[in-house]
Amino acid sequence: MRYLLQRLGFYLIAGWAALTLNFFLPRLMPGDPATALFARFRGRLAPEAMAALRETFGLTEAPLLQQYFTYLSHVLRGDLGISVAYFPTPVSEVIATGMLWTVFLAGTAVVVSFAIGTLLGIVAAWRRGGWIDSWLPSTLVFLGAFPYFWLAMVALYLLGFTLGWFPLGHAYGDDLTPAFTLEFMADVFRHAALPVGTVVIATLGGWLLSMRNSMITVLGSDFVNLARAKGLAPARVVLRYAARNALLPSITGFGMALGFVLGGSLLTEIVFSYPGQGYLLVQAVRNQDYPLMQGIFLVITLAVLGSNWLVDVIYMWLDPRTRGGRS
Amino acid sequence: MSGSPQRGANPLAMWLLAVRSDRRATVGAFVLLLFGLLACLGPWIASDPDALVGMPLQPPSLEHWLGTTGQGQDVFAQMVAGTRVSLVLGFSVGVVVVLVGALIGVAAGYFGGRVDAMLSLLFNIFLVIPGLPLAIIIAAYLPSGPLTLALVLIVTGWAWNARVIRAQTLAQRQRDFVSAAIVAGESHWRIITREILPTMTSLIVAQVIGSTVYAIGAQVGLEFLGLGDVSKVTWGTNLYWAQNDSALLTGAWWTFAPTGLCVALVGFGLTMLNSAFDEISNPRLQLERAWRAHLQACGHSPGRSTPVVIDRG
Amino acid sequence: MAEPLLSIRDLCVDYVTADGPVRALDRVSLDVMPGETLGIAGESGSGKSTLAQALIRVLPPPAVITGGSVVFDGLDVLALDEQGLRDLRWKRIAMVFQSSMDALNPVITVGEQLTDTLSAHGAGQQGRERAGELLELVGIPAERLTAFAHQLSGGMRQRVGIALALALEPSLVILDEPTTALDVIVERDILAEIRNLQRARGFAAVFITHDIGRMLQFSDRVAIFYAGRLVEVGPARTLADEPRHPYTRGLINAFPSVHGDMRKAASIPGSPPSLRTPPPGCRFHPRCPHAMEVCSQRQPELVQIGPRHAAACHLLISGESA
Repeated sequence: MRYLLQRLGFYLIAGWAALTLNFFLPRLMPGDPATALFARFRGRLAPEAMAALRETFGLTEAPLLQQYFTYLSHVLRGDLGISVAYFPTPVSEVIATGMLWTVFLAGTAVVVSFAIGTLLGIVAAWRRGGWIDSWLPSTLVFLGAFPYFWLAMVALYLLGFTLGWFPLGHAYGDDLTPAFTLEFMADVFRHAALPVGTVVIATLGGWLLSMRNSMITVLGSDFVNLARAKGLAPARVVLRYAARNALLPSITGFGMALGFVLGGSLLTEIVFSYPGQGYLLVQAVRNQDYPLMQGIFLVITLAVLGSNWLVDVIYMWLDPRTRGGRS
Repeated sequence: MSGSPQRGANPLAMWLLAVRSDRRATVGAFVLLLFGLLACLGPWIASDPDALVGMPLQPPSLEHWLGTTGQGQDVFAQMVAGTRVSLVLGFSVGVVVVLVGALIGVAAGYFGGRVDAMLSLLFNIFLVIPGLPLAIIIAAYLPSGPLTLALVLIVTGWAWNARVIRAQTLAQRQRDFVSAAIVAGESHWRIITREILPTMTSLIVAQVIGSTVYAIGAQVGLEFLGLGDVSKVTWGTNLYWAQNDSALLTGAWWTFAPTGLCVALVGFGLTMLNSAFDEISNPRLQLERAWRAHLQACGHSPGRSTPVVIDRG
Repeated sequence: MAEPLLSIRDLCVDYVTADGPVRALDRVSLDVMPGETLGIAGESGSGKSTLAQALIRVLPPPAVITGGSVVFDGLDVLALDEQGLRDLRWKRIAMVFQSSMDALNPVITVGEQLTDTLSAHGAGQQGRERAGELLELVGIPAERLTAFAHQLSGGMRQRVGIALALALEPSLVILDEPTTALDVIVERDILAEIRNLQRARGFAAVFITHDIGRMLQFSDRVAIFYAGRLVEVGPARTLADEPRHPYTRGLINAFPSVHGDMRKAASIPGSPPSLRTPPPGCRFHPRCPHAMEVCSQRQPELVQIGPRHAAACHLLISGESA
């Protein structure tokens, strides 16, 4: 428990750091982007929108510290400001529409990829020098060297555009309304297949290699040797003794890679016009919708921090040493 | 059989050995050399990338090897021009990222105590904050261009290196020759630069390679989002325009395929170099490899139990 | 005299390196009788642990057995396939590893590590109960079955290692420096424990250590290793009273009467040779106070010098005794 609380404390600090960064960033930027932006939008934006932007850039009269606390209290109440591009919708509302899709897409991709990659890593280490060990890692590393979104473009072109096996974008068909029906779910999975598939392919190599390398280390340890000496069946030695321990560093890596994979997944969303945060992000960048951009940054960061804590819970469950104390 | 004398030993020779002895690394080095040449000789190989040379979206032909873009520029010329910009930016960012990481990592590991606690907290925070969204909100406020890109890539990329270097410094600090230097009253700066950093040369080179891969990938991603200077020709902006001109939905695969292939080839080459070096500097893997080769030479296949190879002649 | 339980003849083990094989164990011949305790002593790198793991063929890469024979109870160990080895291991020859901290799986309970041993050899029915009995046997309350390795003290972990080794009532237990990591009092307790168990169950033991004092107390017979070779073997009493090989003599003189370890053996000048480039002839000759010309030219063979007492030294061959 102490371990989890410690980690929770760390994520709270990290979350606070992200909030603070978010607050100071516009205020620290050189060349006063606000003025330029105001000039651009003058006449096109309602006065309320101007006021919202003003607040984002800290151009209110209040002292900085007071602004900071106002900002914090707003965020804690879920108020992330007003979107410029989708005026007058609040940023939180704009984000809420896409959040579920992003979590679904990135979450599925990262879990599927981790599971397959880790299994392959176990097999590669078990059969050192076998064909899986000699060919698969370099092939997957090669695939992993492509930008995720480029793989997405190729997949979309070949499997969607040319062969017509998959839909060309969006999360579900235009003719359907979201509902918990079998038909709708099937459609959602059909639409998610390519985006998830490309992220999985791009990240598989990393998981494979990290599991393989940590397996090789663990396979050389005394307790695996003892398990062999005990005459246990090879499968038991490999799974229960070696893989069970080799998984731990991989899980730590999993937590750290979450943010990275999520970034790649956002770009993939753009290619597939998938209605998640990535798609919103590119809209925000094109329209210079700063409040929306910052809102997305914040929400994604909090999501990653939360997932990291979940990973810690899993880690604790897998490693009795972190539970501490004598039983 | 004590320790591993290989780690500190002449890193350059080790790298050459890695390239020579590992087939994948040989391929990797060759690919990198090719792109290096392309970057250096670009202007003499291909025409002006910005020139409008023909009809938009023409498929590859003898005249335009890789076809034309949605604006009617030559895709090959753009790819070659992009190589130079993207490689230079990627490599320089890779170097700076490692410098920043090394500085902070060494300081944390060497000074320990409160300094370590603060710096570790800092890089651990940067490790969990997702890089791409952070890069986007910083880049969005700055004038678009290579300097902005470099800045955000450095801000989002240094933490991992700092973490690794800190761990390595902690290990080095325990060693006798460092303790001796501390007792002898040498200055911190001197101990760090003369005693600690030299033992990490190989690690730092490997980190520069890894960070370059990261920098190229992230740079392409940000430019694809439109956060670069879209009027300049780079790999990322090429992809940005391909997406913008709906290359996919018009079937113009040639506008995005070559650039992605370039990114992947460079990334793959660098990664292969690193993994070959990893393997060669890991004494255990080396021994196991020699062992496997020896058994195969004797006509045995490596099994799970200690093999018996008795020459009964 | 009864048939030996374990008979090792001319056993050679090489470690394959990038620069070619290095011989870690060179033509070693030893017997272990049923129920007896054979002590094996030597400095680190002398090949004693290599021998232990080679016997059940769990020496990890890059080791290769390159010669000789190992016969256990009529079974040719070097000719066994994987299935044959699995049947041999633990049921007939078990082992206590040097450090049970490293030898116990950190993420599964002690109980599971006992029960999976039992069930791997078809004794899983009363697994849980039997596992508890085994723990009690080595003086640990049965409720610690649910403990993980990190929750036990060093001595307790080593006891768990012993319980593991006895799980299937093997006829030979290899003890690879079973008490190295422990303090003197715990060490004495554990050795006494092993002694009692051995009396009760009648298994033979191979006891490997670098602590020659402990070994002389604990073993029936003693074998001394130097740089991958057996240099002297004989009854513990004989070796303690009249060691014949200069290296043994150095060891025993260096060992203070109460308790001591190899660090004291520094009174033998020099250090053991690298196995990569061993000196020619007798490997001890560069450090030997009695080295002769022949010592650097020919390797001395093991010669019988008394009842069950043999040593490999040119001094003994030429009939001279310094």
